[in-house]
Amino acid sequence: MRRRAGERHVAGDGGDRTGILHVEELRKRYAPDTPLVCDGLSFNVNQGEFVAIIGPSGCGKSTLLRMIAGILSPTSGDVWVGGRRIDGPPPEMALVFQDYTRSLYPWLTVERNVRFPLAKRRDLDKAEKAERVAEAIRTVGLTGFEKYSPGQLSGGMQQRVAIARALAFQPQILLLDEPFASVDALTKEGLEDTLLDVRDRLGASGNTMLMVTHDIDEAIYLADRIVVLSKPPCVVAEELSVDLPVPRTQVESRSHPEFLRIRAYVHDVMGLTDQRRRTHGGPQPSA
Amino acid sequence: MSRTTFVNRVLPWILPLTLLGLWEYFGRVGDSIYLPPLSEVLTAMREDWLFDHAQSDLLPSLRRFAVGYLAGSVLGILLGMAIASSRRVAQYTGPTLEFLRALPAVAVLPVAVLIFGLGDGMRISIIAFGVLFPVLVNTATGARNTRQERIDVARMYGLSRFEIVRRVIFPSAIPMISAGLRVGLPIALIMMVVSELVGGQNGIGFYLTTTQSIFDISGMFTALIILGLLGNIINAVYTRLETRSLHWASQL
Repeated sequence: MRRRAGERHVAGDGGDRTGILHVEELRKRYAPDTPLVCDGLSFNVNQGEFVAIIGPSGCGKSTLLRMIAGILSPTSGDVWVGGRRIDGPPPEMALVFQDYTRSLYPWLTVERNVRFPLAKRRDLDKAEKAERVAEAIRTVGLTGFEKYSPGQLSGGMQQRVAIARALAFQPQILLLDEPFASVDALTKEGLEDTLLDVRDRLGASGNTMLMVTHDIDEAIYLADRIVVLSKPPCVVAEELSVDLPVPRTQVESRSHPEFLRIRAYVHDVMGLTDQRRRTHGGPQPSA
Repeated sequence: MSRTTFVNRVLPWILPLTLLGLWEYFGRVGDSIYLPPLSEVLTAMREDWLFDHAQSDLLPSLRRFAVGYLAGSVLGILLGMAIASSRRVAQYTGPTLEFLRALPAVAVLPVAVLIFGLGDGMRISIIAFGVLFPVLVNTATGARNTRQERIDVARMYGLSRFEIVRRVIFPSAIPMISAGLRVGLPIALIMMVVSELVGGQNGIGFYLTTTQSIFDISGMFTALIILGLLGNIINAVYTRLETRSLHWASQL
């Protein structure tokens, strides 16, 4: 069921399963007698939305994403995808991991890595698969590198391969686990813009994207909505929309007053502003 | 040629050439029949191995080596993958395999003779036994060390457990399997010779004991030279194949 534009999910209502992705009261404890990693997480993602989840490092962001992807079972709570409760990896999702050196298959060429998700797709014939692979490789700007081995490419290019692999699958929901944390700052900007290009091309009804990151600026630049997690055991500390004008561009968007406002606000929510102000004896933020 | 490259090229040859020279010298000067001079050994080499015994002894040995090595490797890879992929299999087979692994393969020879008699079955099976364990242990270790992310990616795209083993875990283990296969080569060579020392009718090991028992000392030495060359060639060929096909191994 598609939600009308402008209808906005209210933080913590927990009962709405109509979004493309709905997370309900997720709790995770890795072993008995260990502390909770996640303590009752709930939020909703709408069709075509780009949601960024940010939180301090070690707060259980990756654990959360793995549970949403169905590759890790929650201790309690449910994940709903397209109105169905999931029990294992749902067929409409793809996941891009942070560390491309650990997630790409070094024994396959770039092209074969990108074709990998289509291996079990009997509904596609050979030509359709080839077209999808070529399209995905074109989208991330790696045309001409099809026959290379991942090890022959730079880090940024390898992460592009990982993104192309997810795109070839044409998932309804693309999960991104700190996708740009392992590349240098310049490469990162390029990859961020690639991701925005992909969204532009697919249109508003296309890919829903859910990204986990610890980079506040990246979250604001890319996302329609930001979910801020608390310190562990993590819960949703805050949800906010990013009303930055589109199309977004690195220089303009990042100096837009709205960008700066959200940035300050998120810092505040995460308790980062307090520390600096305390050590420098500046004015305390008003309550 | 610069001085360093000249030295680098020449230096490694000094010791072997000196040793061969000393062999020739003492063989001629001394009157022991146990040390024929190198030249005589080389003559025997030409007479025996071009190509009479190459056909009657070298070929059968190589055939046993190949069949035994292949059988041990395939079995080792299959068992190793099974153990790494299933905790149940690992629990069932663990202690048994640990025990068998500790047995020196040579000590199994008399048992193999009892079971298989003195034919090729015995020889091939103990070559396979010797190769089995290094391959098995390396395969299981390599497969267990597969990066979780690589398995998760395959799970996300709906691959079955068997498909994940075939397309992700097995390829991830290949560099380790390859190391096990390399360790298995000299073991297979040793087991080949040992298996031919008892009750054989042909083979390099058989030639070695026969020449020794009829005091054909030059002949005996030719067998050692052949074995040395064989070991070196096999290792060189393997290393070449490995570096060519496993250029991606450092990316794992």
